[in-house]
Amino acid sequence: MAEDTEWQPKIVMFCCNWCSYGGADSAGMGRFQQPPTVRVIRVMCSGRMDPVFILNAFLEGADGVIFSGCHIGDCHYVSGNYKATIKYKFLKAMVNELGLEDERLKLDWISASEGERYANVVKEFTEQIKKVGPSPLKPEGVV
Amino acid sequence: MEIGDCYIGWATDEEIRSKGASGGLVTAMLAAALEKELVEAVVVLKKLGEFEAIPIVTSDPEEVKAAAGSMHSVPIVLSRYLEYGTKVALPAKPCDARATIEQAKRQQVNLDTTYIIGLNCGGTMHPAVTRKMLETIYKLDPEEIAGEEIDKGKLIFETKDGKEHAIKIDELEEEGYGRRESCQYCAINIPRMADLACGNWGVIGDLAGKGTFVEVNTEKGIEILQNAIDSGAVEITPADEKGKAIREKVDSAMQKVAASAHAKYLAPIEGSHLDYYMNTLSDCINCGACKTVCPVCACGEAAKCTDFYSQALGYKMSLFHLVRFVHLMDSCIGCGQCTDVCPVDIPLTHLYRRFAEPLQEEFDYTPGVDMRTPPFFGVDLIED
Amino acid sequence: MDENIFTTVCPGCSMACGMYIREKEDGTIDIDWRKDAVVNAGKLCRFGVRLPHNLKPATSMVDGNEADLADAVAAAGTAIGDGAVFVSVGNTTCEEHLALMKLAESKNAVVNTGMGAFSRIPSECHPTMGVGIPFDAIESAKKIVLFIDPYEQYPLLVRRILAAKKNGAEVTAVGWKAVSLADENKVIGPDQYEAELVLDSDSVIIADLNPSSDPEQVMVLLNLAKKSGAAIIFMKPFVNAVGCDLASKHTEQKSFDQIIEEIDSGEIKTLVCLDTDLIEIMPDETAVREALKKLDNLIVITSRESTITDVANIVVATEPLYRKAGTVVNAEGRLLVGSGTGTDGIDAIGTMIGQPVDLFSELHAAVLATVGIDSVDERVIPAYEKPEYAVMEASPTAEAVETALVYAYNPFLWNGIIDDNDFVEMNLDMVLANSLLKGIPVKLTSDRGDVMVGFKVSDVAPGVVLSNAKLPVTTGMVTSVTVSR
Repeated sequence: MAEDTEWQPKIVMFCCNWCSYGGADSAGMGRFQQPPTVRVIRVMCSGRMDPVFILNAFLEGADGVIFSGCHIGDCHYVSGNYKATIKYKFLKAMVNELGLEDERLKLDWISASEGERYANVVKEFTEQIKKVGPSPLKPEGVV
Repeated sequence: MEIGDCYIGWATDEEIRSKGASGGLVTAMLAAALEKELVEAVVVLKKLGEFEAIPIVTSDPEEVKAAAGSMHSVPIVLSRYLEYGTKVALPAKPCDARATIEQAKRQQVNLDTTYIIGLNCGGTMHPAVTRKMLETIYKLDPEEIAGEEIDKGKLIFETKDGKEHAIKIDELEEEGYGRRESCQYCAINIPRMADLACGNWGVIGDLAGKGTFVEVNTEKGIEILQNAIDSGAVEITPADEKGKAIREKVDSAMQKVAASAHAKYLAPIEGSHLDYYMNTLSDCINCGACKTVCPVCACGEAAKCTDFYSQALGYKMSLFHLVRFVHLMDSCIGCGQCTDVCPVDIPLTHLYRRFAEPLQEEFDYTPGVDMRTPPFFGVDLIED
Repeated sequence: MDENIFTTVCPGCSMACGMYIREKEDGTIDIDWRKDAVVNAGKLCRFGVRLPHNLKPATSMVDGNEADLADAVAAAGTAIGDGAVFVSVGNTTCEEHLALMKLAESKNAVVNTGMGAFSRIPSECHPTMGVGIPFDAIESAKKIVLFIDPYEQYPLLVRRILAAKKNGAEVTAVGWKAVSLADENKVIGPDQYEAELVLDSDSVIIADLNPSSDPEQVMVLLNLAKKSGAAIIFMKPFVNAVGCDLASKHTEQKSFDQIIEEIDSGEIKTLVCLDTDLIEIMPDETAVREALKKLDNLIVITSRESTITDVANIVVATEPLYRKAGTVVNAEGRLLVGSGTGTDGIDAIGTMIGQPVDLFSELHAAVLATVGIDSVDERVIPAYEKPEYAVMEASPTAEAVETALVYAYNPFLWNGIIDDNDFVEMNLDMVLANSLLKGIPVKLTSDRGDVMVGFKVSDVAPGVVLSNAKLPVTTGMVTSVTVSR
């Protein structure tokens, strides 16, 4: 493995079981290149978004957090992703007011067949986080 | 009697009329509601000292009558003392009324069996501040105080020798005394969300000091007022237009004052927001009092803010506080109880308001004024 | 719906914060905030807020069986003879303590408050060690030196110190763990105090006095105050330690270490404890338990169920502090009285003396007379004479250990309650040096054995493991340990 001296952000990505996790699989099967920065956590639905998850991720040392679900209208549980959009408004506003850079939290919709899109989302988000640097909430000793 | 009607009312019992705040209407209504078994219990503040009172839930009309009179130095929210299912009435400042409605949304209170007798409120004071203010600014011994009143922007104390000592509230607040900070910028003075809204604004002429202005807001409001009239405890007369106009004027004036206090206490944070929040919260000793007294919280022991938080975690910020900030964004009513009980004097109310206000504005949602579901639980059926 | 509401003080420490206890019909309690209380403006620390979860009423027992209060009192009366030793650390009212003193007197004994330091230090110093200074005075100090961690030990002091800082005060903390509100944190030995801590008559020293305090250390602090003119307040971990000390009128006493030793050697056969749980108070629990087994009679008169009530021969259950009639004197020397009217505790002791009636009025009058006042007013601190004392010879010996396990004293620890604080703290260097892993408990080994406990990284002095709860590997105030995965 190549020695990488450049700082690699730690990104936590919550993927809904039906679309986005499938998208992650497709990205792998399609061999689309992505940086190794993302730690995926599978949830059944993007509607499972909970402030505790996102805040805990940041407090544990995540530099960025993405929540990804099915496209609007395609939610496996019909309205879960609508609920996610509301909760996301709360979380985005909170994280901004708190003083964390806006770039660190993202909500996206990735379907199971969108392997390339998945990889691109990961790539772009990683670049974004590299620009803002390590999270100010990182505990001491976490890189 | 119809919803929207405005009256001036007073207790027919002369003792209650003079002891109660401006005519004793509220006391008389509460006592009559108990006596006629409209309710099983009433929540009142039992006076323990000039600046001390404790909420009690009583079935004894005599205890209700003994609690007559307003106590501006007792900043308590009564919603915590309500039990689900008990037919109960309570005197409620706007924060008490709003908290009760929020508790109803969370199935902690049944509004059908809860009669909320709203009280106009311009703000309360912390007793420790009141005492210091009396000694330092009024140059009075707190033990000599026999009564207090807020009238035309002045805080008036009556001493045992019968003398009155009045100072303008904004002068007191310039010196750092006066009302609690959260009260200073609270813009909801008339409790229109309660079953009735009572107060002394708009009571003019002969009835000034001897009558209470009451606006009827709901069917339950009609019920409890009519019950008091039918039992002979209370008399009413329609409020005239002049009184109504004066009431509106006072409310507007107070809202203007609140707006400038808002600009003072919730001015935009200079510099790093994160530093501000981290520093402000750095002294927290994890007592949990803020959560326990929060009148809109209903989780009890098993709450997300505490279940996943432990002192052993050693994070840069407390997960407890961050989760509470999110949860209260739509529900914080700005009552200030959290700040009152914080043992390390963190101005928590200001922090919660900073997160809550922009969000409540965005959703055009005001907690505690109606039974609208808090937006956090909403389903936004948007087009992609 | 029906509640009895008591105005009372929190039993957590010598601040004696004002609060309300709301007692329901089924006996369960809720706390409420008494915003007009002069000591704390109603505010409470975690111990006070969590009181309903931790306060368990005592049950009268005789030889391991539940008994009537009257039977337990009778049994105790018979068991307490000449040669009995009495302890009362200050967890109950002055009046109950005085009652115990009367009982002790009738057996030619005294009541030991456990503050062994008093007996080893000249008596002119005792008033200064007893009553402290008004908390308001902390707010107007120009310099404050902390020999305590206010966040852990006496949290309601934090806001006083913060107010002092707003008034321009400079705060220095001397201890094992950095205190975040301090302008400077020092890890220095007693021989460096004078040089490093520049104090004057506008300064305040805040320290702690408890049964395990080293008298030499206390003398060093007294010297520091004397030489600089600084005011000094010794906070205590028991709500009425100051009151009981005043009531005792500084009679010659034994330290708890001495008492445990004498029980162990067989010299003491009967021990009477008044709201004093030696197992919870002493650092080496195991040694205390072993010693207590050697007693013929362990009699515990107490208002709450605790570790010692499980092993006592006789338990005389009295009403909880909030129900008691009587006074408490806090660290400021302020007399405080609640709305309780219960005299179960006093009547029980009265019966043992042979004076079961009217003992309370007599004792209450004695308290007022001792302090020199006519009635109790929470807003007035009586005047106390604090004689001048001379600088003393004092040389605390610090045990040289490589890695020391010490306690972060807090009210939960003193009361044997495991709160959300069952972890140890150490600095990052120690964690890295021992290759400890996050989230996995650390192993601490001493002569007593080993224990696995969770850990947290904090700004702790090198070579120190700070524990927030008592660990079975403890051997004393300082335990030599090794740290491993």
